[in-house]
Amino acid sequence: MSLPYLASLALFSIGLYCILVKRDLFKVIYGICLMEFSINLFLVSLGFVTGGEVPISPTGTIVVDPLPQAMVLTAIVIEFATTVFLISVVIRLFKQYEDTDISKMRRLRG
Amino acid sequence: MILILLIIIPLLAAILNVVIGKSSKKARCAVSMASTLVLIILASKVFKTTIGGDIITYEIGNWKPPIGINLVADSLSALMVLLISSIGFLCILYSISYMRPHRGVPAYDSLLMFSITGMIGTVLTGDLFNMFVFLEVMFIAAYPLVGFFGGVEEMEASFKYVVLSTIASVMFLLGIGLVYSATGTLNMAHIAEITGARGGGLLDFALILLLIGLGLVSAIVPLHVWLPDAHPAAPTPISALLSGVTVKVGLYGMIRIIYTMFGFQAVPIGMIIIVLGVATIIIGAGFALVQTDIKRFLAYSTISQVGYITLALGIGTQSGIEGAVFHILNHALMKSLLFLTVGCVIYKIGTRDMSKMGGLLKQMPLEAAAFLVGGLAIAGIPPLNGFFSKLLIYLACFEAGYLIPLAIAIFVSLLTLAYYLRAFWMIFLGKNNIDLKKGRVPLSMLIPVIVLAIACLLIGVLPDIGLSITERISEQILARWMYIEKVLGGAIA
Repeated sequence: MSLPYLASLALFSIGLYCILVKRDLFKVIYGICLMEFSINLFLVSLGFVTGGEVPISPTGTIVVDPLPQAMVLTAIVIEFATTVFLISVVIRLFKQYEDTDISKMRRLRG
Repeated sequence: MILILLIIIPLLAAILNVVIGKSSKKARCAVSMASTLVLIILASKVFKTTIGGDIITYEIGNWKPPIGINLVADSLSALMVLLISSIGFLCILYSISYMRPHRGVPAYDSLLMFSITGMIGTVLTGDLFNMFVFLEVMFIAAYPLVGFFGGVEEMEASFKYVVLSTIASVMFLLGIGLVYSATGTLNMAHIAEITGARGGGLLDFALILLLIGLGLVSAIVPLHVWLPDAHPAAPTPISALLSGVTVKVGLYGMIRIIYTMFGFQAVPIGMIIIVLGVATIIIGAGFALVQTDIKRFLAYSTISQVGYITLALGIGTQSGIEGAVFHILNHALMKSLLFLTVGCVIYKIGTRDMSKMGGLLKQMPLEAAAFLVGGLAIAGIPPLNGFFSKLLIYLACFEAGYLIPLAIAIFVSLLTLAYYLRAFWMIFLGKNNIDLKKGRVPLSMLIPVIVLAIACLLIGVLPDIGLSITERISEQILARWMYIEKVLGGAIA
């Protein structure tokens, strides 16, 4: 187990903890972001080769796998859209309740 | 060529709707309707070709698989595209009158078309990561549609939906990463070829992660909690689309991944799927019995019916797949019918609370008949379509020797009849203690209801058509080697 994998595991756990335990809507969003970043880190480290080169006209034979990086780029765009939508929903809810505490909301409890 | 058109047409319609914007409400409707009509024509053409046993492929940018992204249509994908486009068309027709008070918001039509694009892309793609992208397109269009009315309840339902489906998407993405690291490819046919040769712990774990992602889309039991909030909160045509079709896209993904990509025999998950399916059947029906909110009631009924399909998928025999595919088709028709019928009732009285309804039979005889057709069909009463798909599932259970799931499935079927009759009694019979809000229900809302009711009756009266279609589809699903050969086309030895 190398360092990037451990780091992504740690990030994933922290994110899951945030979503499950925290009572504040914004902290839930941070948790989601952390989980997404951990997967991105995991995907990038999958394609990493020690001593590898940039895969654009390489000089040697060892190159970094470019496909996971392309996947991560796509995933980041999707995560951006999701996060923006989540924040806009929270703003709407905040206007209604004047609070971002999850336990004050009827359907989100439990 | 025809496959890429199936994705580009709704996408263009969605973008065109954004461009038209607030300038013309009628033009937006016309664009959506015209594009879905074209989709129906193209999809039936694809369906006609593929049901003969052929598989159509298209390589995007002429990059050969497994390097390039490709689109694949076998008969199951073609059936799904046909379902998505025809129910999408009926929902758009229905929205013309139903959404009239909210027609000033131009995003509605465009989001609806984006969501249709995502669904069609998911069922047509032959690439695992591409499937994730199209699923996300579908999700991101569905989130604002769920919260469309903008009230507190809608916003909370939408928030819950986003949080849970984002977690599921993260799992799905992780699963894709693991599959890539184990096989070095993302093309589904190529993965199928490699996994056919060797399994392994990493791939099993990846399969579980992928199934968690798709299980949330189709609301299988531990992952079902968002559905009873999200489907009632959405505007009724969207509820019909979400319950009727979007949930089935998740089930399609499960069929594709379990049967085509991994091969059913190679993975020891049949039992888990059966247990989850039975749990889904029981929990959905149990909660449906006690609901008073009519749309929440239908949402729980959807969960229960998804359980039947999941159970049939877990059996893994050919008759099991036949039952599952037939029930996917039937439930899409029945549940859209029920949601749209209930939408007419809500349109007229302006409440979703069943305890406040009653005695509507005289004022709304057509809706009462349609509700009865849908309800009895879901319960599996003989001359209607639900009977045959449920019978296939029971037979598959019996043949494979799963007697306890069979007993539970039959018992819950009786329960289903009970809760639909209870709902019918609460809405249409009893004494009338409400004043009706508006005049007549507009024709554009009645036509989709009538069309769907006739479709339910027709499949029930002439079951041979449905049975022969599902038989061919199940044969094609089980013939993995043919899928692999057609897609890769001898590109790799």
